[in-house]
Amino acid sequence: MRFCAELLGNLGRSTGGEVCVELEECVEVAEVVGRVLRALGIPLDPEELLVTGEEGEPLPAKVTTCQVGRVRIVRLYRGG
Amino acid sequence: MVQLYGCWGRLLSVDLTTGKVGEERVPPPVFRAYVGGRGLATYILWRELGRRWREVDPLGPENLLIFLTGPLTGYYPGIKMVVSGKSPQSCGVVGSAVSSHVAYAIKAAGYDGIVVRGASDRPVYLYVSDDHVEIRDASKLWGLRGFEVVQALRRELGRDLPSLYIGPAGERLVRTAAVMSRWVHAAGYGGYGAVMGSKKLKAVVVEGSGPLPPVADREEFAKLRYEVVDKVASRHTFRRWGTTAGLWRVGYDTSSEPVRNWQEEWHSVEGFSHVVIERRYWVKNPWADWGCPLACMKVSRAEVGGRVYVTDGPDYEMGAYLGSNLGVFEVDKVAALSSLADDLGLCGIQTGNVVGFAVELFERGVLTVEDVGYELRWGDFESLRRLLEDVAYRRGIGAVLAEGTYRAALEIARRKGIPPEEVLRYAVQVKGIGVGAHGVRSGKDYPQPIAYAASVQGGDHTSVAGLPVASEESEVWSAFLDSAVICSFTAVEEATVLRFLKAVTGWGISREELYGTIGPRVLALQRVLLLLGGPDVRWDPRVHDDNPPRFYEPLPTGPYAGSVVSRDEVRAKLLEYYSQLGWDELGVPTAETLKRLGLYDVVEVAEQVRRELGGG
Repeated sequence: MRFCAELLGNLGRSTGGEVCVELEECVEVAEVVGRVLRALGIPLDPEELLVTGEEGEPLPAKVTTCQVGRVRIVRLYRGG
Repeated sequence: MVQLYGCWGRLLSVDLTTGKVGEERVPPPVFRAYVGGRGLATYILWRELGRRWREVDPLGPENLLIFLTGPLTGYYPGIKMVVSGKSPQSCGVVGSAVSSHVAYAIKAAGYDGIVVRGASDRPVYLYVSDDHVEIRDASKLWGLRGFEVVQALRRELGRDLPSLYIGPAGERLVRTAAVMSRWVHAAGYGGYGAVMGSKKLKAVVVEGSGPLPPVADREEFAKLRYEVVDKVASRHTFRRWGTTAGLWRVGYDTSSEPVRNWQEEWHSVEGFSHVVIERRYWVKNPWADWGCPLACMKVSRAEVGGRVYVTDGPDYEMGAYLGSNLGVFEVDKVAALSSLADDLGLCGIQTGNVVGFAVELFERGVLTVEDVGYELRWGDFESLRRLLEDVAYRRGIGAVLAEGTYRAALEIARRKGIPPEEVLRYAVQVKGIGVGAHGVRSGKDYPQPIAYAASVQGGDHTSVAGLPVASEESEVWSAFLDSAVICSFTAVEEATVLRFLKAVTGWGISREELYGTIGPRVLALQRVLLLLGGPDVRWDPRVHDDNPPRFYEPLPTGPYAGSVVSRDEVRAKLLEYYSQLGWDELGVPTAETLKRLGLYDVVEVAEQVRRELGGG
């Protein structure tokens, strides 16, 4: 199955803003997002991220890629 | 009459020239249109000062000093408020957010905020206890440092009450002075400590016996509050280390921390990290303000030269600006400088910015021992401590640096008889506001290349511009958070925040309205006032909607060495950003946009700005 993540702002600078991966089984969205960002070499803490549905709606905890095929990722942390 | 929920529709009005105290009503439609906090402050400033904005001296009695809460103050986890007025740094409007128990107290006293007009001819402080308001003599408080003010107020009032106050820097109208609260909290951006000092207002003390205004939907509110608290409390890294973790992560991982006046943005000093700081210096963790489940503050204690210093963290911005940016990597000394800045009532960011600038000028021979009175060296605690004091008390070169980096650069160039751009090239500021400690060169941190260049709050790292406009990457989102008023560290996804706002206020604000109307309305008004500027500075978007020159120099060290911001990219993104907000190619909101946002009375002024800039 295909899973796509829209990366907003600087997260998407080197990827054109969207990354899609092919998955063979259902995995938790949080896990695949972490994997994708690590593969892209983007240094960050998952706590800094906001992962939502396409329209910005919150995702249920433990949601899997079988339930959601596309997410939107924003860097929530705005300095401090 | 439309019922207001979550806010009272009532502001306390204080005129320090006449000594009159009263109240002002804010009509519900105005609240709905501007939300509160930063939005409402901008509306008040436009309505009252907009037509003569350029002539208004930010440090004169005609300026307003505004303390505002938002509809979510007291309901949403965290306890922020906004301090505003015409900024003595940018000469625009800055919504300077600060955590303070005063926010809750104002609301519990039956107000949404306090608007201070005029200026007293003697030191005073404002005491508010529900409907009882007094302008009290502060001659015994004047001259005291921050920590002394807190103690003196406690003695005078017989108990600890929520307060906002200034230190010696604010009294001396230092443009990098902050409005302080609870020892370590600062409304730093904007320079409102100097505005408070110009009004001879040493402190504002508020106690409120409650209750808070009613909420529109109690059941939904209770449910959402649990939901948000759960999410926020699960930010374990943040909860354990607060923003102090940034001292390693931003410096080492993302190469975006200022090092020696931004000559570098990467370091690998292992001792300069949250883990070491936690082990060696923290005496209380976590430490929180009222209603905050995140509890990102930590109390540290350090001894330097036989003196004990206590501060928060140091949190990331203070650690970066009074640490790595000054070449100080010994944590005890960073904590000491942070504590000193708090005590003097200085914004650690703006002061660390201008002091770093001065050290680089000294290193390059632009400033000399004759100018400063002593040698300035990176990492030299004693000279840096002394310079911080000189800035706060406007002594010697400190009087020049007290004007902030931009104005200091112009003055130093004038004194030295060299072209301003020769000095401004080392000034890491945008529109009079030193850039927050998150660089844009590596592209790995959150600020985009136009983050500061296009911001209506200049170098403010908490209000950065970004694309797309209709997202949390945008300054629209920051303006909304500062209007609602929510701490950005406890913010969650916009859909939940909007539901929360609806539960409290009953306002059914959609995502489209947030990004299409409410946020852009606040930004358009802030933008027009910023471009009006005056009396001493005027900004030309073709020149000043830009990064500091340093950001166009390649990063010299670290894993992203060689990374640089492209001028072409910045220009292209600026135009795209203006376009998405309905601004013209100069970044002036168009007449059509202003009318769509309901800002009919701004059209003429915006046209005047456009004509002066040579636009069509």
